[in-house]
Amino acid sequence: MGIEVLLNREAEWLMGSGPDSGVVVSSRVRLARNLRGIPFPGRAERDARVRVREMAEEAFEGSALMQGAIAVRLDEVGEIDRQFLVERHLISREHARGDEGSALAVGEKEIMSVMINEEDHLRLQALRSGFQLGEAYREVDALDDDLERAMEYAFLPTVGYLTSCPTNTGTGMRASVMLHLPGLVLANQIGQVIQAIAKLGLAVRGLYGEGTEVSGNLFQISNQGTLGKAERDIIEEIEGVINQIAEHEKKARQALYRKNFRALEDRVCRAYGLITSARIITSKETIDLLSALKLGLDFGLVEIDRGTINDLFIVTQPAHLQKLAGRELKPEERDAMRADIIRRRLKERGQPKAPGGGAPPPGAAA
Amino acid sequence: MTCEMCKKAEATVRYTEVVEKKVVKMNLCEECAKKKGVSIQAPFTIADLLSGLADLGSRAREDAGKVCDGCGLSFLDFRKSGRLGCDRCYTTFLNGLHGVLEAIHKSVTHAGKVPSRARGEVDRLRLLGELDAEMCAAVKNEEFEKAAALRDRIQALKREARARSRKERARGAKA
Repeated sequence: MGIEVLLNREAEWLMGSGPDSGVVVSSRVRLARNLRGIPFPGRAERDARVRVREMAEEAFEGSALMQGAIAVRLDEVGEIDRQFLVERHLISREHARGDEGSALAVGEKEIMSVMINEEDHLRLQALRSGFQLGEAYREVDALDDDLERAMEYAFLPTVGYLTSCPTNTGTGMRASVMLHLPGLVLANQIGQVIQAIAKLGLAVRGLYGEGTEVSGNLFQISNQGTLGKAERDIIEEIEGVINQIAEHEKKARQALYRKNFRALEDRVCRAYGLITSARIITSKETIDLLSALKLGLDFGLVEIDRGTINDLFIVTQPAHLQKLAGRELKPEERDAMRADIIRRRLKERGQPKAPGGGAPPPGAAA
Repeated sequence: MTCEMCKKAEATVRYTEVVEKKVVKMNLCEECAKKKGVSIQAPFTIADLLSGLADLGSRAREDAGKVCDGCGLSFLDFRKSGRLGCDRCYTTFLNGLHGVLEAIHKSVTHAGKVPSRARGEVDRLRLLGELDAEMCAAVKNEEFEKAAALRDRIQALKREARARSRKERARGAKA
């Protein structure tokens, strides 16, 4: 089984199902682990890296959670395939360089995955749709239990799990949620919210993690510290903060609905009109329009399956389009194909509820 | 690119301002951006932190000349890259790392999950800590017999631990 399987199989985290999925797109918990007595990937010779990969693959065989997993050796696949995996949030940009020994294992529905020889020997990940941080931790913790039976981790009782970068030392855990916050952005409150989050010791990032730009009103929030607190406590803290942000977002949306219904409806319906009519469309425009449709969906202004919109965020990215086309595409070819795919998928799976403007609902100002 | 305001320094900030409904975009240097009232928070990097090594105390400076015998990483390499080379680096550069971890996490003590293989050792260390505290309390209360008994128990535990780690090292060398 190769990467191709992923192209036609729906990932659980994109289904838009889980709790609070109007605001929380997905929840992810990642654990960094290294093996005892072997240099970390950045300093290891080729042989050591390959040995780590083999040990990991053997350990996966002893874990029910990794049964039926797809294995990808990053040095054996092409540039587009690696980019494709980055776009699916399965590997990092750093990992996509694809040095020998670098590999990936992806479990059923893309819930569990393990990066091998990224910055650390192992990066275990559980990714879930909606607000399911606790569940994601339980799963990745169970996989960790399975793997530690087969391998001896680098660990010191004093400072915990040892990682290549001291920012991960201790629990090695990074818990993050992806939030869709159009209400706070439109209400111009997002700056204050981000500042408040930073003060609580959490990091706010764009769609693809560290150093990436915010687009489509999507924000990633994760813990900074990994030492001095237990995993469950870190998760609970983040959950508390996310609950508050989600409350603020909902309030901002309600205010928008009450005070500015016509403008909101205009925004959603225009987005629908553009995205279903365009014959050429860039990634940037796509993300912005999809964000508006997502907001419309939460207000019941359009009837589209949430999973379809989430999926469009992913499949309209450059490497996905090229995988679907089965060949390399020039940027202008991609913009045309992107428009075609969006029109086709929305036609199959959705339609606007009130195209051309409906009467404002009771309680909303026209 | 040079700053569009002072036309001297390198521009590192993209500045956007709305003046009478017109959007004005400028590339500015940090100084001029500050004059425009922009507060700049430089992204935090480990390398920055390590370059301020002197601030991490004299214990950190002791590590400056060391090289890890596990992977050959020198403390200088670590300062440059911000990355450690192997698990042994953590014991080699313990002093320097202490300050780094404290600065990043505001803590130097792990309080989370322990792999099953290490649970025995963690429990032993925790027990040693408890016995040590008990012994100090006993001394303070002038219960010297109790303190002596505790001291003997602590020493026995430590002897056991040393023997175990010697055995383990011997096994590791063979493997």
